[in-house]
Amino acid sequence: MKFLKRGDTSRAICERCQRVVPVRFDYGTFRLSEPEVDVPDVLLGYCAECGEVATVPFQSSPRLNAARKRAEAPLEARVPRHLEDVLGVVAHHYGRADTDFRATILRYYLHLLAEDAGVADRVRELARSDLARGAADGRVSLKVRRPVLERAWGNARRHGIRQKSEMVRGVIVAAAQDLEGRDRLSRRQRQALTAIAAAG
Amino acid sequence: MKNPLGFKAARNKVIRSLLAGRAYILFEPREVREEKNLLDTEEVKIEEVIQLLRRCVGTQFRCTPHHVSREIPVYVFQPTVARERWYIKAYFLEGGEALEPVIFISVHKQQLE
Repeated sequence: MKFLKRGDTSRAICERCQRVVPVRFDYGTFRLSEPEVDVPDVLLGYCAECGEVATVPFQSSPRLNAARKRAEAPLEARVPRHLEDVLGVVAHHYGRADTDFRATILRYYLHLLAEDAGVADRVRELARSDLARGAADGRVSLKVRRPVLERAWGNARRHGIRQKSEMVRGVIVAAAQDLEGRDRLSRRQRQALTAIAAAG
Repeated sequence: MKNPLGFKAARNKVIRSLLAGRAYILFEPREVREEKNLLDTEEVKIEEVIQLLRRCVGTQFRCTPHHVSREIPVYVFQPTVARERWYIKAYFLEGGEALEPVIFISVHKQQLE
């Protein structure tokens, strides 16, 4: 397998110089904007004329992603206490009773919501279902990758969900509903979560 | 634009670069910075991008000039798989059909609203 090394040269389009320029690869710090964080020791292609980063090789992605993961955003939501039980039952169904896996289930459904705006309608309806109702005397707390949370919340808001707690209530009920659903999508979610539970 | 490739030649060239290893895959810094490229964020694997490209048909392909260097053709593939429309945008600096690094501007799903 071929990898790039410090000192390798190539060409790239430099945004600052506004043209194709020679680049030289070297290790340096790359600033991410979402989340806003500096990632040191990343192999980057620097413009030989202005010194700006002109290209980022794929081999640097794992290092950048590790930094993104560290910059996770907290998600706190007040929910009816019985929904904590519901989430526990869902986790137990997949053979996992630990808190980490409960958070994994929520992250999985938030990822679905982030990637598919169509999921937002279902989450909104379920957040208003009988199972989701009750005094908000319980609490759900987890960390979610910031861009995933932002995309999920953006889709949720565009589809009429007004509060993050409403989003979380709907997501928990969706996970519970998928335990028994006979449709193709429910089966797919069960298969995915079964694999994730077994792997972790 | 200088000598843009047709649909099949462009698709095959992108796939060959993807199969050639990580040294043949590069990203534009802006998309990486803003975490908009699902291949860079490793939410989509190389094999999945190849599958998406193989599912793409000629009517889901177009070629536009790069917004900075207008002589460079940028290839846009918009395959629809499992009712989801994808947006894959990439280019090459040298042109022709010989193997060279592919530079991705975008790999993401398109919001259908």
